[in-house]
Amino acid sequence: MTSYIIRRLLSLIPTLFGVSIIVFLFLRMIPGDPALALGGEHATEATVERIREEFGLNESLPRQYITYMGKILRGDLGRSILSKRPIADEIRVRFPATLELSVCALILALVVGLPAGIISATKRNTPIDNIAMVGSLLGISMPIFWLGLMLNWFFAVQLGWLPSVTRLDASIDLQRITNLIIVDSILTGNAEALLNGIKHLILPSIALSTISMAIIARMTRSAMLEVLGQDYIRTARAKGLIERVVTVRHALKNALLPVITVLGLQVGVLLSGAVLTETIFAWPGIGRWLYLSILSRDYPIVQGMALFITALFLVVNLLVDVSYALVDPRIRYE
Amino acid sequence: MLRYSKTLGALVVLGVLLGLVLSACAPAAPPAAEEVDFIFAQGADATKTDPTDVTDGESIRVCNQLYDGLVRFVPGKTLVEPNLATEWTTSDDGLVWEFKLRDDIKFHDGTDFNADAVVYNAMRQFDPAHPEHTGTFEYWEYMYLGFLGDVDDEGNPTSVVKSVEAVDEYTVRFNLNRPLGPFIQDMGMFYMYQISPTALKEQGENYGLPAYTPAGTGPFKFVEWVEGDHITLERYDDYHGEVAKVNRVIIRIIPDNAARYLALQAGDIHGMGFPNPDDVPNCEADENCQVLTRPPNTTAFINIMTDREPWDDPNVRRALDLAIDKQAIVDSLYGGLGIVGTQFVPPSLWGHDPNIKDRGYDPEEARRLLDEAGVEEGFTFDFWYMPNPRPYYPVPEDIAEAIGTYWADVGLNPQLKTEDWSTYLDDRAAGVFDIWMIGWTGDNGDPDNFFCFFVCIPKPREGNWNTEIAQQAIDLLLQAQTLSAQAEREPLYQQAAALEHEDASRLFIAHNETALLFRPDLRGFVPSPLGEEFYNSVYFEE
Amino acid sequence: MTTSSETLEGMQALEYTPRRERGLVRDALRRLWGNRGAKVGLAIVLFFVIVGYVIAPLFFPYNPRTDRDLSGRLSPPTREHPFGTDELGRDILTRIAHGTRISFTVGLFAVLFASTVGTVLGLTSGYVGGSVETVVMRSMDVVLAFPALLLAIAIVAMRGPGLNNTMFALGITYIPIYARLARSSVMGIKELDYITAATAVGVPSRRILVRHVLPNSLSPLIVQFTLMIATAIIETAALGFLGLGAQPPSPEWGAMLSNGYKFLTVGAWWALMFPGLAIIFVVIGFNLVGDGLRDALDPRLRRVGG
Repeated sequence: MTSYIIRRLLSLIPTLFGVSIIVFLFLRMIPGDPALALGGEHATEATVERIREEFGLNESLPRQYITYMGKILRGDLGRSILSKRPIADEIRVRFPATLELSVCALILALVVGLPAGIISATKRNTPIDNIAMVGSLLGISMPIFWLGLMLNWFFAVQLGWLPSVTRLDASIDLQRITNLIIVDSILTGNAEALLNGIKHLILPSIALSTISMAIIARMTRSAMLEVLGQDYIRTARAKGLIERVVTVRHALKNALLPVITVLGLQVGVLLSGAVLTETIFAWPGIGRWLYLSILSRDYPIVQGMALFITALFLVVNLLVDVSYALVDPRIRYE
Repeated sequence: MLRYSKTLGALVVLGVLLGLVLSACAPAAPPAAEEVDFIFAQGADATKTDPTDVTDGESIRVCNQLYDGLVRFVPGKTLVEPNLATEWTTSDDGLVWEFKLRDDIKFHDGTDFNADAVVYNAMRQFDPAHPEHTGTFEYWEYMYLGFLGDVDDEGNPTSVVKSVEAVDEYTVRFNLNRPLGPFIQDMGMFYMYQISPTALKEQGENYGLPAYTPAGTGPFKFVEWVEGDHITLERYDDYHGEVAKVNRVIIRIIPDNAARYLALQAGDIHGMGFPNPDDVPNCEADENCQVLTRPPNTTAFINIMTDREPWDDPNVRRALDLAIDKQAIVDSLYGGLGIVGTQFVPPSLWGHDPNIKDRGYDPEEARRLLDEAGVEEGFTFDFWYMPNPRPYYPVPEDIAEAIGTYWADVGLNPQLKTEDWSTYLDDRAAGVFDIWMIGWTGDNGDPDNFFCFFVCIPKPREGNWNTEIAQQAIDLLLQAQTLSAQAEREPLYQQAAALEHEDASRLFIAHNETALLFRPDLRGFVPSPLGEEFYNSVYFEE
Repeated sequence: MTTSSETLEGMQALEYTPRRERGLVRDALRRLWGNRGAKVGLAIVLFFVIVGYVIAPLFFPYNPRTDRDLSGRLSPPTREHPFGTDELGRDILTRIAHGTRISFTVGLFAVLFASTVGTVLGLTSGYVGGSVETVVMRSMDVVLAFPALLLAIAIVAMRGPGLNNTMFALGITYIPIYARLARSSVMGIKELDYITAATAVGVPSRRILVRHVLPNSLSPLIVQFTLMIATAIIETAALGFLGLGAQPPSPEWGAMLSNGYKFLTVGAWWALMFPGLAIIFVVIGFNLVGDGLRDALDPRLRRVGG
């Protein structure tokens, strides 16, 4: 197992290498002089020259690439054109916001979606099944920006139960260590910030979770149905095992595989959803930031983030594959 | 069935419990008076806390609290008053300005404020060879037309500023190459705010970035900046002027206008800018909300490339103007805060000519002019609007759509186009657009800032206005720039405006007040026509 | 591979498969008709088709370019305006009805584009195998690695906002799904006896792909086609919401939503509610049809479903 993980980690290197070349070439494919494009309207001769220097545009392509990779390996993703801030710094502040939101949404999706799928499958064609399936149909059919707006309006404005925007009330002081509000407030023993942070998380998490929740529920249901129809389950039933034991011990365990695959795919779903959710709830994460950077043609940010997201995706994929082995004893990685 | 109703019952109970828990912890006890925070929400993050190297209102708002200039705008006015300088004199030819400085001031980091600091700050921007000349210093370049060593075709220095020198420890002198009418007004602007030289030297090109601590002399000190989320400032107890009444100022970032208003209604924030126009009357009617307005100091217009077909025909431009029912647009899309625009300079400023009247709404005449000019029915062109609200265009998309329908009414076929704001600004400067929406908010209360900036040098940015009439207007404006008496300058601006109106090189849509919304108990906020607002006077009524 | 075509016998034997397919299709259609969800879905989709393509253009002709009634803006639902009016006083019901064509067109063409390109890529690379397969499928993985909406945003940002670019961008992001699907069907079929036989008797590989492999991979592709239209409609709306899709004054649903949102604060819930409901209903319709098709076409699930 360990050697498998190491091997997989090593195999990430060529992929990331390939992506880095694509991303590197992306900036050079902008028509015209990239230094002028990067400098913008007000760039003076000196600024353009400084940009050439910074991006090494005066050198040969392979040399440029080596310099670029050297910087990346040292954790230097370059600077934003517009704000001139180091991109790595911004990721350090913004990514935890998206991570916290996505993890909460995913947990919510699992906590509701998994049981809903199981119950649907075991109580097939009962009203519970119908309700769950209609619910999940709604989940995949509802634009999350619409749901987010509605939730925000109803719970935050009409009822005033929950805060409408941002991660934490502005008046609450919290020492930022990891930039994950929940983790930081626990680390510093700040109960007020913890409670407030959780309240801020509720609405955006619900909005962001619906698609994943529905997909998980539907996937669990069909996987369970397939497994429940198989011989060994019939055998187990015939042996007189209690239904719950059959469901949980035997069926669920085998039905989990496709569900895990689906979980791995949620990275993309959640990040896409984050663009919209972060817009509606003024959540200072990477989704909206990247969206705005793409629009303003802030190429270094797009470049850095493309690399970052690909790496993230590959790591999650690895985790998915590893968890296959943990769940299914039939799969063994040598 | 029974089983379901049981489950349902349980769910209801659970919901009620959850509601109770949430509502129990929702209202926090109001903090003691001296610990009060003032939370103001804006639509975008600041870019820097270095006032010399920013141009966006979001950064300037933060800098207004952190820094002081030698002079400052009287709150709510466009006049300047002494601030870090106690008095100033100017030579008869307007070329030498001497400022006497206060001798009791320290920057937030403990550095002494004196003439050397002022010279350091000025030379940092002015001299490209200065070790800390690390920014683009757009405003310096734009207000003074260049840096040290910049020369025009004839070898004359382009810069208005010639040199800056310390006369003694608390006297500083600005020498100019030629007089500049609005020089003292410019002195109050953000780009002339004083920064601690120690901090500049220590932080180098990182000065003003989120992870670094800026140091000014203003009523508030920097505490922290969580990117994309908020910037926290706290009261500077040794402030030389009115010490702040609130303990902290928190600038919160909430990008969406509606979301910001929702947050205000929910009590998450105390004040906000850029409301959607329809929220203004809504707030006025709501006892939990308060509207304050900035006096009108904006102009919204449509720029036209006057050297491209068919727009090179003044009658076609007049037809475009006649086709739009501006009164209807102003009435319905400006939240009751606008008036129809007729010229660059808004009516609240000197230099405005009340005799210039809007051409009025006359679609038939517009059609006739278009026919006469040979513009065919269904003529298709791109009409560009900005993607985000500006003070002068509070709902650019709605306004663009409305204008589009009026033009469609007279047989034109405008295609509405938009793109990211910074790209938009670049593209219009590069001459990519033929017709586009743009506008201006005055910087310093001087008509020059409204008018000459836009037309004095014909450039794509402002529609290549280089007709015969244009040259006459530009001559008047350049002449006005070198005069210093308002009485002499005013008629020149008015004449230029009349010429501009006649030529219809731009379609003026509106002048408007801009609204700021607050919680009802907030007091002491003085809206400024220039957007120069200082939060040390803000407090909450008991 | 040989290209000799003197193998009439073998080919005639192979021509039988389509006929058997026809029986399967009739079978599947009957099962589809027996599926209540699918019937409801079909009814919803048909309803919108009729409203959007027949009733609206015939009885309520509409020109968004000149539509404006500034004095009647933001009116709540009335007899005259059953869904209320928007910020320029335009009738929301009329705009939703005419917006149907936009959503349907974009959804259909984006998916058509993606499924054509993706299927060709998947079929050929799966059939040819070797390094071609590796390169194609690896690049598909790279595209899939990037969040779909962000990728679409990037493409639209590069090419400029608008409906055509929305179609194109969404299409690009969906290609890998079809490529993978088509490839996995090929992998399953490639080794079957009758394909091996056809190859052995020298049927050209393009012919094998088009006449034999493709028809047998169709069911999952059809199911995916229907479901992806649903996704495309939502994502078109998302791009419209972000201001990148249809440009004003086009009555695109997502753009209507992002406008309507501005007026929630003044209580104009109708401007947000009705376009949202339109999206939800249409998407539910396509999803139900897609689910029904899957149940009808996928033999594996059929067995389980019993």
